Amino acid sequence: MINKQLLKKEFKQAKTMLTIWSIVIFSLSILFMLIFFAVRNNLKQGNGIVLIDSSADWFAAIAKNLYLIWPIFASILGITLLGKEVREQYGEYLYSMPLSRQTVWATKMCFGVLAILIVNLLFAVVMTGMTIVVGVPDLLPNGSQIGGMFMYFGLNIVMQLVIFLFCFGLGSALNKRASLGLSIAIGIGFFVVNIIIGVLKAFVDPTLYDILTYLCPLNFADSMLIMSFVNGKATVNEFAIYTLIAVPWILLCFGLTWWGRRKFMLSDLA
Amino acid sequence: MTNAENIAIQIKELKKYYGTFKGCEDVSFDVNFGEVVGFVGPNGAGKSTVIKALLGLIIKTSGTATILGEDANIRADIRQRVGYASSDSIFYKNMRVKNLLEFTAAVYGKGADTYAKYAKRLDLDLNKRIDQLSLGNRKKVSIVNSLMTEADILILDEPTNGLDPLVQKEFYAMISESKKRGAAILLSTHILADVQSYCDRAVIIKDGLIVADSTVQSLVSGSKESGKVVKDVLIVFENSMPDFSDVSGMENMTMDGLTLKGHFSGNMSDLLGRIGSASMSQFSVSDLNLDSIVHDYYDAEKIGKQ
Repeated sequence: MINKQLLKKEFKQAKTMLTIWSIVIFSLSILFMLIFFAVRNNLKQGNGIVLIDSSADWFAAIAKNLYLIWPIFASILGITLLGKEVREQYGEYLYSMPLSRQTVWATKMCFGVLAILIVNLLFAVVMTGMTIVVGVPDLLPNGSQIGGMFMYFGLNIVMQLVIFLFCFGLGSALNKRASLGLSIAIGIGFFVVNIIIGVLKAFVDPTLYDILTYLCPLNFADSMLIMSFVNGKATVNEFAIYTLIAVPWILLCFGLTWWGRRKFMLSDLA
Repeated sequence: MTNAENIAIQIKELKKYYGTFKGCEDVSFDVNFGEVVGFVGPNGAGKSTVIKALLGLIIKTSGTATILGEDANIRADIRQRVGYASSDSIFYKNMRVKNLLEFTAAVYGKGADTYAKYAKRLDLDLNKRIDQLSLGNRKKVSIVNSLMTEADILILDEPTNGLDPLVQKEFYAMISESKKRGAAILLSTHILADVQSYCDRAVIIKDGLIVADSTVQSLVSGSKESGKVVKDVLIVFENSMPDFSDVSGMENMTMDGLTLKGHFSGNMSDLLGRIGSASMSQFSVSDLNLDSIVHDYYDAEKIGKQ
């Protein structure tokens, strides 16, 4: 089902791309942490809305809205893995070899999942290390915040895998019509939907708002909610709604991926 | 080996439509082991479409195209026995030639150095990146990539385009070696002299349809109508041209002033008898070459369209 040689080739070819993504993500994280040190005294005084008194809290606040890069990373991977090959005419070389379409499809999906896991693992290690090093005085009184960060890392991977599968399914079906522009549009699209839902907060019932919130997969890794939870401020209900919405999303993505696979098996690849 | 066992490639009533655009229609022919078949046709005739359908790269509209009796789209493992050189010769541009060929070797389960001897013969630089290569060098990569598989079926789509004559010569030497070891070779090309020199059989396709499928020998010595010997005739008379109106086999001959030329498919003694004692400044009768035969088919197409 999975071809090791092809998987190895995918990693070799994607080495530069994955390194660039990692550097961008780490650079942003370091930048945000530096901003925290610049403004931490003002934040500690509180502004009547939110009180941020540790680097982990700060991380939670920025992660929710500023890490648009994650869904774009997942959507680019998902959309372009199969279509790019055919569009750039490498398909004739790859698919003329003794590899079935099913093998290529499954290997590419496996590569996408592994790429997400590897980049996120690196991110988790670097962020955790950095937070511990720079935030020891803040974290000592509340070690649970590190637990919250790990929860965020885990759920962030779930969010990316959902977006990846959604886009991989779509990419399989669209084949060479799946472009880089489309993948960026999907990533940004999720972000825009998230903002629109945020705006609705002022106008709709709180329970309905909670449900609407999780209609966008970006909120599967809602760092603010996670920090509220580890700080004992979140209600259990919110996580119940989360699960209620996440499960259909995951089912939808698996369905879309299966449909995409069927379309891919019947499409011209050269 | 029975006839059926000797068939490496079999295409029957293959039809491929891209929407309403016809790629090929009712294409049927076989390629046997130990045989080089020239697949000839103008640009857009449908050669690549047939080859891609055969390899399972595109989905057939109807008909069958099998390799060793199997549909390559269903049984991808059958491609283990096929070496393929694509006409576009497009490979991963950020890879080095060596890495690309190593990947091919790994997928085919060959040793990592199987490509070295072929690369050396074609003078291919293994350390260059694909995007640094000229068309000719990409063609060399394509040829090495297909031959290094040492497969018993080779499908080569316009492999010599852009190659210099010395490399072409070496390529055909390698093809001859593959033929000697019993490989079945389908060679798509525009270069008709090569088909005449190196192929056992020619399959001519035009406008998505097969118009001729015969041994090269019978194509050049026979005519489109079976059983008749066709000769390329050129006669220039000195004073006046005899009346040839009742000589049969003159259908493809033209008379222009004192010149009579074209493909004569009748009885040569009738023609000579009619010439009699008429004085001539030029007289030549020769076997047809494949070039003129194929162009006859192409011209027929043009006339048909007019």
